[in-house]
Amino acid sequence: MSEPWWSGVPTNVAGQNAPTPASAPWAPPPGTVPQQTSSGQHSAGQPAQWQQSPQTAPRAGAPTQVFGTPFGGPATPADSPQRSGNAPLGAGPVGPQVAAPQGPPKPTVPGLGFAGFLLFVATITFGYFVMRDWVVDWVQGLDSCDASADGWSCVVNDTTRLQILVPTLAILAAWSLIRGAGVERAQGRAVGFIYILLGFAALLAAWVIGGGL
Amino acid sequence: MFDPYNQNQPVTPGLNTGSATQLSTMTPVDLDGIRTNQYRSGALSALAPFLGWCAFILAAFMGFSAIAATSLCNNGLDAAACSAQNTLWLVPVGVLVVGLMFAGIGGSLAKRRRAFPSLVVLIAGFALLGLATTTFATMLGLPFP
Repeated sequence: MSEPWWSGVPTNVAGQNAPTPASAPWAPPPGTVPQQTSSGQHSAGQPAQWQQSPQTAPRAGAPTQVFGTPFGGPATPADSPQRSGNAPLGAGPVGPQVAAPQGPPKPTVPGLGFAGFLLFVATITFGYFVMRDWVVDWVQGLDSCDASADGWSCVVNDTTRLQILVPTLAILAAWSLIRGAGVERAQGRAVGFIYILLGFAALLAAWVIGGGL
Repeated sequence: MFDPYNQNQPVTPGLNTGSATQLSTMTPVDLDGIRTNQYRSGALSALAPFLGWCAFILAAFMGFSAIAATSLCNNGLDAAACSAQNTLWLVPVGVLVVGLMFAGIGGSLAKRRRAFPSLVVLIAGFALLGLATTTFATMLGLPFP
């Protein structure tokens, strides 16, 4: 019978007496211990040689008590010359750590983010260079309104609707469409470009309608 | 029961039962019940914040209109707004609260890939804004918006 992978003699780091044979640690049943190979090692990357027992593996060198028993017996000292204490059971020499598997790359649509940025810049430009003039003109026109019964038509009229309300809604719609395009971009769908085009169309329509007065 | 000492380890991924499994844990599993959509709707994700912005803008315009109508009533304006000044403020507050609530619910449903319920909630939100606008114009007795 070949030498077992585990000597069966625990090392008690606590300094107490060695356990009696009656309480000897568990040993694998006979016939389940593999033949000890001459090399005793398997390089990293090769599949583990699963033998009849999952706890058996070619050893690195001279048999040394490295790990605890399967049922939680006393552990080995940390300064084992053969292996580190953190090596998994039955493994060969500790190789390079395998990186945790990463998830699939996040989908994206090239150019859609820049298009959304352009639309945002367009809304700011429209609000500052076009709508600002309309708002200033409307506020200046309120000064001539008399505080009488006819004053309401001076405040609420077609100019207010087409040069204040519609451009405001167009800018808000463009911002909302930018967000919708961002959601589509995060899912890798190119339909976000349609939302960007709709945003530009809303700004253009508000500019044409408001400027037509 | 799987015996690790007398049988070989399974070489294929899946449930460790020692034999080939009929259900793989590596592929999506069909669930019972309502099947959620695969993608989030970008249109609904755009419509939800737009509803919120519309509610905010509409509530602001209603508030300014209420202030203007009250001021004009003090200067001789004869309209329905002059007799409903105390209740005129309820409409913009209700528009703001209900509009933002519906926008939040619709956006949350859209985020959870519940396209049809989200669409229903957003349409209901816009319908309520339209109804509130009509009601406010009636209470105001003046052209609005």
